[in-house]
Amino acid sequence: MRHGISEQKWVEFLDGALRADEAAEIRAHLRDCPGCRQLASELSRWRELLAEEGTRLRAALGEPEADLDAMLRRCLAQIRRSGAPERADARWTLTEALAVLRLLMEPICGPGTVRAVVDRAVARSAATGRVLTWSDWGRFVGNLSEATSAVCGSAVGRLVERAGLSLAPEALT
Amino acid sequence: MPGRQVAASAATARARDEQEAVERFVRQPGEESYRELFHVLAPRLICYFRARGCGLELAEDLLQEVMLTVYRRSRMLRHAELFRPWLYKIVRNVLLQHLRRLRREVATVDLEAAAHEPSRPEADPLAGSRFRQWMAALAPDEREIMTLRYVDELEYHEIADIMGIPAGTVQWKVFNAKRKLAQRFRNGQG
Repeated sequence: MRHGISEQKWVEFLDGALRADEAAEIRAHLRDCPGCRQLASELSRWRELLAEEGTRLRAALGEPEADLDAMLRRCLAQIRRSGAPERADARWTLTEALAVLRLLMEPICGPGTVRAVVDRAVARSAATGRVLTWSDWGRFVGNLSEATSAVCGSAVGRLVERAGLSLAPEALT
Repeated sequence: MPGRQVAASAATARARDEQEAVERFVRQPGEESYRELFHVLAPRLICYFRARGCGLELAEDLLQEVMLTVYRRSRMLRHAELFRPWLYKIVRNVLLQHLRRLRREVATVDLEAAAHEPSRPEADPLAGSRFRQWMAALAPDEREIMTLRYVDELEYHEIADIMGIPAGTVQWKVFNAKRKLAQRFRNGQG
């Protein structure tokens, strides 16, 4: 907070994203406050400098030296060799992902513990009653990792979190 | 001023071409739409890698790696508006994998033999530039966010998606980085 203006408002004002009445309030404050006026002017100047430099760099760095068509031909040749694109559902189903997680955890934590922590994590994470969906997966993995850490130690908890997140579909990662 | 207007309208036209190519590719991924996508994305991706210190030849190799992945995973993407964050996650992963490979090579290299080898000729494309000097005054996460924002021209929400942080945090970090730059370079060049 600076002179009654929140940092969020400053950010939005300088980005030109603040509502007209709120922007007018800040402009009125700037007329009376040399410190804020200097800050606003410096930040606007830096915004312009960075935008100009970005434009210059894009022009200077974005030019491929090699022939783009030749690069494209090489890509297409590799694509033809490797076949069709991967299917969207080529990874795990939700049931498979859960089974893989259980299989990974059982030798370390024991089947009884795994059943208990998984059930608890499902109950805490499923948005619609007790049925877990992919949209609950991130929350579920977090809860499972936390419960596993409490019972089997933080190293196992971290392992469960990593494994769980890597099993999610591409679009969720 | 007219120069700035010309640059702005060229940027708008480029953004429109890119948007159309992305929409066509997401709607119907195939060789024809891929060709078009490749042509509009290549300069952007080469710029991405070069702005992070890669030489031109390496940037072109990494571009091909990215574009192969884009094709292979094209069916996983169903919404054109998610394309840019999705693309940049692939781009970041390709760069990270390259850096990991490089570290492994360095770790296993014969030091005696390496001492007699000439150093890699590819120079850092940003060496000596104002942008590199400015970014050196920032923390690594601020540097990445500012590069994504001003060189790669991404929106706050896209950067948030790529980096896995809230959009408000990105906005705040950009604001704060500009404040740091203003303080650091107040009396010098800017």
